Amino acid sequence: MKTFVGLNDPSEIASRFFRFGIAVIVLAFLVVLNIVPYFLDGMTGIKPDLFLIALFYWATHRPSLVPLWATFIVGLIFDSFSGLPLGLSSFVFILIRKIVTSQRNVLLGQSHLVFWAAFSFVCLIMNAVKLGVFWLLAGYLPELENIVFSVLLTIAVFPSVIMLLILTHRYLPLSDGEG
Amino acid sequence: MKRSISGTLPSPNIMAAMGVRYSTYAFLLLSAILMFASSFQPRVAETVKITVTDVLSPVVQAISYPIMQVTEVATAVSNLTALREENLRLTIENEKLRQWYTQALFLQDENQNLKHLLNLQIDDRLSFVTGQVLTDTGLAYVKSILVLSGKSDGIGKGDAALSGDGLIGRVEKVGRNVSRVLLVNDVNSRVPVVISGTNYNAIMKGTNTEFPLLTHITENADVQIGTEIVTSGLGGVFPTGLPVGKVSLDDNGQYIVRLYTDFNKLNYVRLVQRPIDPNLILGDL
Repeated sequence: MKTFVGLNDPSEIASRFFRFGIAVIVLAFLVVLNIVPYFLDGMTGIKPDLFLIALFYWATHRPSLVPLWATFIVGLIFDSFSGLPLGLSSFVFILIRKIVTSQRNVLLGQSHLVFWAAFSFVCLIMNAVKLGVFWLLAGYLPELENIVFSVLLTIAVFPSVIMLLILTHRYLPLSDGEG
Repeated sequence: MKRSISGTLPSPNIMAAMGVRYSTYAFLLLSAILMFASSFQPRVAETVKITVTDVLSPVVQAISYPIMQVTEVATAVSNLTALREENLRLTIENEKLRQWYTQALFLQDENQNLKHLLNLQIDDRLSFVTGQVLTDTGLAYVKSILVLSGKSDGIGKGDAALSGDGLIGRVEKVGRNVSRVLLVNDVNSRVPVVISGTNYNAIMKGTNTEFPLLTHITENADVQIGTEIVTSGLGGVFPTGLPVGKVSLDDNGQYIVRLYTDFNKLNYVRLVQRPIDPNLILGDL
């Protein structure tokens, strides 16, 4: 049985709360960055999926930071802002979370390169599923060029976003049964 | 910790794991139900979406403000090198505009005199509201944007949306403080247009690409490449004469429209109130 040293200490409780808070704020910031426009020339419709990177990382290292209900709600928020069919992003995010958490033991402890390759594969799968479901619901295929560039951009920015997430991860208190 | 009765029931850990697994499937099912419901009841889904954006727009607006500022500074710095050439170009353009201004004053005077002669009664005053672009998230899938102006600013469904250069779309859904604008290049967009200087009517049809198609052109019409396209006002959705773009040809020989607006530089848009259809005004009977 595990015991938590110093959890009765109010300063320790405050510290744990604060450190968890930072991780949640970083996650929320990535969610909002996914929504706001960047106003960059030639980049209309092309945007990295920052939340997907965070979802992949935390679903592997600390699934309690991306609970099912929160993943579902973030998906609904994305759909509301983007005009996509309601539930589409939630469906895809929950599916990705399920796949990644089921492969945690394989992914944990892998080199950064393998982790990056695994993410690239998941990113491709996610976009293929999203595209397929969208086609079924809307009855037409969207402009593929933008989607391909968005996927490539997401894969390209993965290492830099991961560095930020690793920094917040180091700051997190240890949790029961999680890394 | 509680123990399972005589070991016949699964342990709490297994129960918890089963709970997680079932809740994953439950959330997947819920998402799928929502997707199909939003396909069959789009009006309800749109209301939910616009309500969510209404509630969360202040947060997104607060975070997008510094991003917008940083982008503006970066653009300004990158433009510094071209400042000299830009200054020269603007001086020449200003000279030309002065000549046009004099001509415009003369034409305005002539136009007013002719209207007076014909006793023409047209109320061409259009009121508009300027709003900040809140998000362009879905542009890869759906060609629409969210604008920070809503019912509280007098915006209504069907209002035309313009950039500084020309028409960009129409208001599809209105929330209290936010509106969704369907862009003219979305596959669901149809805009009645007229080829400027002629009476050739056409429909500009969105194709989800940069260049919308020009369809249903008047038969045997002699359309010149590079001619300006403006809204015809037919159907009563858009006011007459809003600039849209120029006629061009694609690789298949089809007429397309080169839009005046560059969607990359869409920071603010003007929402023009829908013209009042005289056929729908209540009578005094």
